[in-house]
Amino acid sequence: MRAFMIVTTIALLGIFALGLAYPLATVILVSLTGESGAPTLDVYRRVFASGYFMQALAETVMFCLVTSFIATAWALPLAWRIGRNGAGAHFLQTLSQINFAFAGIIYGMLMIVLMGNAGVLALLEAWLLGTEATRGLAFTAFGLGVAYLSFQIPRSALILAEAIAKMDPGLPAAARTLGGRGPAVTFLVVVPILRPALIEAAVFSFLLAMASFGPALLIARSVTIFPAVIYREFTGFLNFGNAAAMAILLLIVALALAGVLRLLVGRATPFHTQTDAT
Amino acid sequence: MKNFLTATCTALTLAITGPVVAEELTVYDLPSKYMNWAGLVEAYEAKTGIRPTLDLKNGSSTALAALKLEAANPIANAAFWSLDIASEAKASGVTAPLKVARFDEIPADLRDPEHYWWGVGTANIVIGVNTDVLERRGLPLPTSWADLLDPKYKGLACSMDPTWSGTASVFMYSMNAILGGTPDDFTTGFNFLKAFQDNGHSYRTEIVAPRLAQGECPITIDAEGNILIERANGAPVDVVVPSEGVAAVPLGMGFAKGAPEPEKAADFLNWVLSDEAQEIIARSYFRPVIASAIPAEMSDAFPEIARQVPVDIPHAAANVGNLKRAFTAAVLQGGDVKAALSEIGLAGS
Repeated sequence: MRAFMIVTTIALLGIFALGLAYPLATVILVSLTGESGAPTLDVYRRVFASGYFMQALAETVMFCLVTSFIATAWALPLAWRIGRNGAGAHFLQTLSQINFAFAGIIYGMLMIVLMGNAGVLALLEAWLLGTEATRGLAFTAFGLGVAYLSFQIPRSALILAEAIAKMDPGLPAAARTLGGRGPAVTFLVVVPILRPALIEAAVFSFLLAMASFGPALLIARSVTIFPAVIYREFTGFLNFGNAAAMAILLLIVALALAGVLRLLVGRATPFHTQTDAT
Repeated sequence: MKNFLTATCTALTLAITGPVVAEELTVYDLPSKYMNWAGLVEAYEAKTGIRPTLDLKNGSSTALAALKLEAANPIANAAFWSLDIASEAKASGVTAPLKVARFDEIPADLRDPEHYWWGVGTANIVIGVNTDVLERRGLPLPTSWADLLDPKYKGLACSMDPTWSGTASVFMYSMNAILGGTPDDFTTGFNFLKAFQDNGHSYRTEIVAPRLAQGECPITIDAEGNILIERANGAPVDVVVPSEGVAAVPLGMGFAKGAPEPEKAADFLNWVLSDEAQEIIARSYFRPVIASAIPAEMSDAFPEIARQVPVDIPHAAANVGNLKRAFTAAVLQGGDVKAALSEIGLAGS
């Protein structure tokens, strides 16, 4: 048993070192190297001074914040059904998990197939109504939003479902006995209990969205997505310094915002039943 | 426990060494659907048993970025790309000279006197149309570059993104000369590129030939060969040679510096210039550099070009990097064309 633990720990540390620590260190090094090879902060100065890069970062953060909040709120009914083992829970859970198998680019492709210029929606609309309002919807901010939501909702749902499964079912039931109706029970009892899980799901979705680059590459037009800008710096302009600095910036901003979200929305105190009431 | 440790070690060793199935030759940017590399690789494998890698680092710029990054420890042996990028690669020091056997048979303007790059084929950048979709929409086929700016074709055209694709970067460079601009002033060309996007069309980071065949992009700007090969496969597509003139994207290959398998690479690079390979290229509707290799039955298959605008490869190579920056600023970010070009010194005087 002990040998097993040792081997596994070494393997995991090895993977961590080779797969994360070393590449990250290399990227940091590249971002701190000037054109002459000497260490410098010039690259970061250049990135911060660029209105284009900063605006792209701001747009991406706003877009990801909005979609992660919508995704988490929208995931609640799905998570409720899965967590409470309602009808079709297992099927819905599997559907949500299949989500992990798709890479970002696949979501971009799916959006094009669904809402592109010759997409299913456009063809249906042309056939039924003869109009073409939905043509090319995939390339709008709405289309990009749908792409992001389609991978954020299932993931938020799975996180929430776990919390819901652990939630004491007696509390909403008690609220209902006391006369509370649907929305009141949901907003006054369930949501406060689930607040830590909701924050976790939102933060997780946010981080996922910030890292997402596949859909942006294929369909983003009106929203400038920061990871796609990094990609262009890297492969289009061969400006490795800029790309590295922007990657580190993305990392710091995403993690910092995640931390701020957790703090601001607060560590919720678990809902205690009044056991000492007489 | 001892059994477990032995098992783990054996498994890891096997995973690392692995079974070797076919002999592979790592080459960058051999897109299976561009210039029929799928067919070329199949022919080479049938002949020698060695299989060059398809669809690895697609995009001339992507391949160059990869070679630059791997300069300390080269993985690729060679790359296929547009010759302006090949010139950039020579300047970046990631390619090495290679005297290919048929070097002297390549036209002088398509080869580097120092043997760092050489052309294997050219393709005119033309307009591709999906005749089915345009007919359904009741639109006449466009006949000129200017037609693409007509509101009746709004949103229907796709080009590849010049910051990603070599073909598109040559398109970005040559539109200026085609529309009457000068080598010092790219305003004419860039105004067109900006107006192209303003008319709802898109610059895509993917090969657009399949999109034309599917109807997702009823009009494309692409190498003539990619369109004609889809037509030969039965897709309702056709080539339109714009009246203002066309430029050809010069396509070629380079030998990577520090290539892991130099002899195999040299064999492959020489084979691409052989009659066999050049004929496959001709049959895929790309114009081979060795003109004598075009089979008799294909001599009429290529579209008639009324006005061929030459591409100055050294000038393109020197400026394409800056032009891509100006393109991003003026077109993709919606900035001002004059301002963006002034910044790189190509706004005329």
